[in-house]
Amino acid sequence: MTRRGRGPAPHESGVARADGPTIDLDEAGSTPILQQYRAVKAEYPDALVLARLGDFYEMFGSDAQEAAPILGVALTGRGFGAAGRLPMCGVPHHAAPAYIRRLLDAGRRVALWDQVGEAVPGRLVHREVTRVLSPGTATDAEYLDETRVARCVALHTSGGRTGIAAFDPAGGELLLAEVAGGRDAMALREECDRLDIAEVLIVDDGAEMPPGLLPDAVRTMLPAAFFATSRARERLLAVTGAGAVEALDLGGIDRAVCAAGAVLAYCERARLTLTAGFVHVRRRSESATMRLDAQTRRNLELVAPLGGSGASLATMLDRTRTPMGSRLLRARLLEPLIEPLLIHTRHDAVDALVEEPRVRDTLGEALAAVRDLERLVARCVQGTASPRDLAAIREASAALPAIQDILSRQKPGELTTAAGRCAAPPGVGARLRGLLVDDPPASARDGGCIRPGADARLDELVAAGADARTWIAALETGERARTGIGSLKVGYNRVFGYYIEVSHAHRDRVPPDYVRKQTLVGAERYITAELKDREIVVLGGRERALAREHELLAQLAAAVAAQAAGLLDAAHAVAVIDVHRSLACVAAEERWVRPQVDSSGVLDVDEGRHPLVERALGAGRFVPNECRLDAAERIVVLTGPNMAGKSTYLRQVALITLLAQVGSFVPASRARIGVCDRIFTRIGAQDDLSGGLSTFMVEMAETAAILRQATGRSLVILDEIGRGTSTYDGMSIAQAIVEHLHEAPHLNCRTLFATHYHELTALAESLPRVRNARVDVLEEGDGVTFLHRIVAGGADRSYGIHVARLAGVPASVLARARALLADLERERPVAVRGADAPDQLSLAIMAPSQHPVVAELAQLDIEGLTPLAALNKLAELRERAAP
Amino acid sequence: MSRDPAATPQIRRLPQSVADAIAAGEVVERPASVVKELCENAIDAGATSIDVVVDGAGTVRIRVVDNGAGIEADQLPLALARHATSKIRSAHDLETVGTLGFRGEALASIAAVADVTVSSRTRAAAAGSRLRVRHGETVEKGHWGGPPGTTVEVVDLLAATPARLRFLRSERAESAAALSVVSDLVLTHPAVRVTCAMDGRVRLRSAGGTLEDALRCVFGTDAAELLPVTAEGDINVGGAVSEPRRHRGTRGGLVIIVNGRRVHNRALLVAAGEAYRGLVPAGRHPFGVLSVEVDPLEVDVNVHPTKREVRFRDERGVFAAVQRACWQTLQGASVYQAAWPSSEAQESAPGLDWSVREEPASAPSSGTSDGGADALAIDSARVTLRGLGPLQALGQQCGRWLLATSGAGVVVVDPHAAHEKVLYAELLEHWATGSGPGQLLLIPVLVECDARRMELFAVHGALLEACGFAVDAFGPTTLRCTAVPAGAAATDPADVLGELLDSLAGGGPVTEQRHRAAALIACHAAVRFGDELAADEQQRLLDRLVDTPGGLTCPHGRPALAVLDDASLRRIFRRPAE
Repeated sequence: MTRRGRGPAPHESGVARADGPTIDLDEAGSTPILQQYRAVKAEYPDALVLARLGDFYEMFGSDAQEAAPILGVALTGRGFGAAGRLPMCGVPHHAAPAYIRRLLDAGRRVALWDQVGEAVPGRLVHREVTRVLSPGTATDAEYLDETRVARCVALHTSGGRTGIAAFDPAGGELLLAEVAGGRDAMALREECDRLDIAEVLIVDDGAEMPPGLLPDAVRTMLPAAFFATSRARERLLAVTGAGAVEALDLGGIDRAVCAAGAVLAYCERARLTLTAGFVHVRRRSESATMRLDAQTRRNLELVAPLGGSGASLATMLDRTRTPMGSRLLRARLLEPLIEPLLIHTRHDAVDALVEEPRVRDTLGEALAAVRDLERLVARCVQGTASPRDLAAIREASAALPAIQDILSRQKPGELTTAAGRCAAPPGVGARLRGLLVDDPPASARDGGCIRPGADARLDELVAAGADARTWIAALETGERARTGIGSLKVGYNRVFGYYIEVSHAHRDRVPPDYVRKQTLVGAERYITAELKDREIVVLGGRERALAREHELLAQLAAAVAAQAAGLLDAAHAVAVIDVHRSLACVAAEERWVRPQVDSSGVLDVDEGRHPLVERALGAGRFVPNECRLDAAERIVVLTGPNMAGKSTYLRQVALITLLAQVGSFVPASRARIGVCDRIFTRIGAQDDLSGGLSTFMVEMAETAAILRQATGRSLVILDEIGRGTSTYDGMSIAQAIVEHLHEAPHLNCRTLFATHYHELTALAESLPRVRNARVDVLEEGDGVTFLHRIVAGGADRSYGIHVARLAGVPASVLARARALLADLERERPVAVRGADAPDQLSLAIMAPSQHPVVAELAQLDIEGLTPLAALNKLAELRERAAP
Repeated sequence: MSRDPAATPQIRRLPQSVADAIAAGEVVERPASVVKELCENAIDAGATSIDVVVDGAGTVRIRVVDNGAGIEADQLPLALARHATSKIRSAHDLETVGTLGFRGEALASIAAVADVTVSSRTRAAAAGSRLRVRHGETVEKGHWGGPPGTTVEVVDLLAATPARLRFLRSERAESAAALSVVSDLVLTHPAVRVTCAMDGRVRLRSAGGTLEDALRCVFGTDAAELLPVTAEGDINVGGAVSEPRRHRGTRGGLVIIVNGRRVHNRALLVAAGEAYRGLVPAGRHPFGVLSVEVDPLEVDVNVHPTKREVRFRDERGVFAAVQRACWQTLQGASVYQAAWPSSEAQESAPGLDWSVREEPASAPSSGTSDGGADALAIDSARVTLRGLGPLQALGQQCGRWLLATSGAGVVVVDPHAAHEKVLYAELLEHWATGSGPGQLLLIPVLVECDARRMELFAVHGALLEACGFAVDAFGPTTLRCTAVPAGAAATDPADVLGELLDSLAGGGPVTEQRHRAAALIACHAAVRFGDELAADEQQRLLDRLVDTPGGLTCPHGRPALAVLDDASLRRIFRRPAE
């Protein structure tokens, strides 16, 4: 069912051996273990089945061939006589998590076929599939990146709308949403892009997934039955504990409910425990947040740096002390708010913490003690929590009141609301404190997790063992007295257990009840019936004590799981506080200011900075710049040379706007931001070669999307539109776009338009709401100094040749370029489709200027030419004049 | 070059570059002085944000970036010229210097021994300018497209004078000195945002705020232990000083600021120290910040090229003001509580696994009073155990403290620590003489161990044997102990063995492990703090104690006894010494 898009085909890695051809699982002999393995494989055909055999997890047949290269382990094989050789490979079970993670990272699904009973000689150990892991259903810390959510998402399309159900198995959150359109709709892509999706589930209806939708997620096809409406409702009711679907506020999103049914069924099949309290359903409303398309997210480097190296905005802002905070910060960056009042609430919270460095410090320590409460609770629900996980929950429950205490003197607001939710459910912490030792071992295998005196039954078992041990320890003295053998010794070894040792010299004095067990060079070893009984108590008592410990640990985990709802709510509140604190730390240390956010449609920034570029350059390099857009001036046409900082300025304005709406302070000395409903960016040319689109096509497709979707409240950033085609084409398109943005009645949105076509600066004269700005350059002799200052007015040239010189282009080429430029540089009037002449598009700028051949002819020094040179020149000119 | 001994060398005027390099030596003592000069320039330029970068302890790169007023393009060459300054105009101005710098020497001196690039832009200017000077020679000059403010980058400091370079201390020491200069900057100018990155790592970051914020930035959690100082008058004294129960081993923890300038003034350190006399142990010193504001006419800052020293016209008056301010501050603190228990001493109570964490007890008799010991060991430097002479038991106080008289005065003994000390010495002596196995147990003791300890036993069994234990494996997770070291009979072998094995996990040389083992056994075998002792037991313990070599502390460094001699009692009762 899984589409195996990556990695080699199953048989490519097979190695032919001298001892026969490679054979399939079915062709191999029928040992009992292989029979069972085949049965499991038939049940989970889409998963690599890892069979626990002793200390190893083994894979056979095509699974082994597929996994060996991914794991980097040797592909071995087992011969079946003449039939051939069955490939196999294995990994040691104690190192298995690292290997399993590699398989998951490669997009594979893994079924763990584990031993679940005690080994009894002569019989096969009972084995069961205990867990099916896939990129979207892993919950253990070993398989997850702690700063990212790995969601499993089901999509269900019918009747022109698509339902989305996104489940985070490591946090229990189930997000439901519905968007217009099918699987290829832009809205679906945008919604999915911001959700950190590791695995996507779709109905196996033969339809292709559009290539741009979730290219990095593993795709799993499910039968239509998974999406059945009635079962979906039942499942939702079961996992949420709600009495009726109506109680869940899921009206009008039936498709999302179907999708939820699919994702829940899939997770059940992966042996995940889904309990009420753990699973919490949240309905996403589209209108409350700003939609960000993939280009904008990428261009502004919100969660990933361009080009793969450097810092993203998320890493720069991340001073969180808990992984939950880190994940929430990331999510919030992708969901800026658009309601000024909600934004103010967040700013208030950050403001309070900026003002109080001391609270910030103490709060940071308290937060760090909470650790990853969300995923710790999830592991308790799944029954995979280690003793250390339980101890971490104990510390977290102690830290929660500390957080409340620190924030108790804050003015009422988002901080105090969140603090109010930071309450550990009663009893959980006390129970963990009572039972669990202070510093439990990482694994429960060897015991030592439960506090002595905490559980009477466990103490009894331990004491029984201790009594028997004491009896054995005293045996030596007693037997010496009874037998009169002074050198009699009681000892222990691993193979024979406890024994009584008598040297050969005293063999005749051995009492009749001694049973000889072992003969050594100088002594005989014996046991007695009573010693054997006590030995069983000693050794068996340990087993029983261990079993009791495991039982108690399971009870503790269950007690935590029973309070999952309250603990997860507290975890989320901690994340909220953590994010505010993180933003406050950045604001204080970087001297960011609180922006004034309103519905004005103004963008007014003093001394704005680009946070990532500023940091990359280091102190004292970045030149701040202002930005003003208001009702009277909506469009800025920005000209200036390459490398002078046009693109940085454009991104900086977009970032400041976005940061303000996320709830952060902004890198500026003052800022007033009228909220934007969307931020559109069209920056740089990225070939979508895999999609078969040219640079220019991508550019135009993105521009078209912007022009169709932008509203009067949007912020549009356009960088060098028209660059991908010929000069006149490009310039015409650029001009038409500016005119459209200016004139179209529903648009008139705030726009920053950077261009090399300095001819476009003429637009400011005819279009009233267009203003020119340029990046200041100081020219001196042949050199230029980029001043990185944005000043009013248009640039009259591009300084391309200067940049070429800086880049090390040879002098001869530069000289030729200068000569050509001098020829070409003629002021040409730019026709404008202004308000007074709405329908008249002049072709003036399209008119070819003087042909270069004509220019060269005009400058030809005929007297200085020999007849032969003149003929040659003539031939060359004719060549160039030919179309 | 041979020189004719008979010829008298001629006196020649040195070339300017040589003279400059020599003069630079006065200002540029070490990389930290460069950092200091550049930071002071930034402050004088009105900066509210200063970023300091130090690479390779300052010899590779020092960069100080400010957002201050900047330097006009035409002024820039002057900034790097000797005796050029914007800060004073006449000798008369020296009387009332209000800026940190004024000598007009710093940049020129630095430029004489390094490669210096100054880039600067004033707020009003569209373009900034940039000047690079290498060993006094201008090598580059041009425009600069940066933000308002000044950036000074110093590379290859002292590279051309290898002799001077060799005089620098270790990279670590020079880095620490530079960092300390930046810390001083944070304390003297709390409102300024400051960062300091060394070799790519941010070492100090102050967002700028109140003095309290600055203190927290510099002193960390210790800042919570500081008492604010406020005294107004002709001479204002502000800042914050440590509570008496917190103290440090050097005077360097107390930062003195005079009119916003960090200075090193021994007299004022002594003045503050006087206020703590009797409140902190001898040889220990307060820490914190004292900020003194005096009329600029009353203070001469032009004493030393680095301006680290100042001279007061009325030194006695300043001294008195500082002492009075500290005294008033401390009056708020509870003196008795302050003088006696040290918080560290309480933290290292028995039962915690100090056996692993503490310093190896191989030098138990050094008598150093670090941390916990110092509060009680008021006079430990003067008194040795044998010097005390015989101790006569007086009884046990509060069921805990042993009181005794001696020739030196009243002696208070912590019975546990004293017993521990005695046993420790006896064990080591016993092992050193190799006097065989320990004491056989009547009934073997079984010790339950986890897998880890069984593992440790397999590795370190021999050492246990050498200490006098007889131990063998007796079950998958059981050890059987049939003999314990003589002198440790009173212990529970289960506890001692478990902890011993844990402590052996730390590894180390055998002798050190033995000392650790001895300390651990002694601690377990000693009487508990709070055990009542019979009169004869008390006397026997005191007798053995006096016979034990070493100083006044137990193997873990906690004091075993305190001597209340005449001098100590006088301090407590504030009676002047006769």
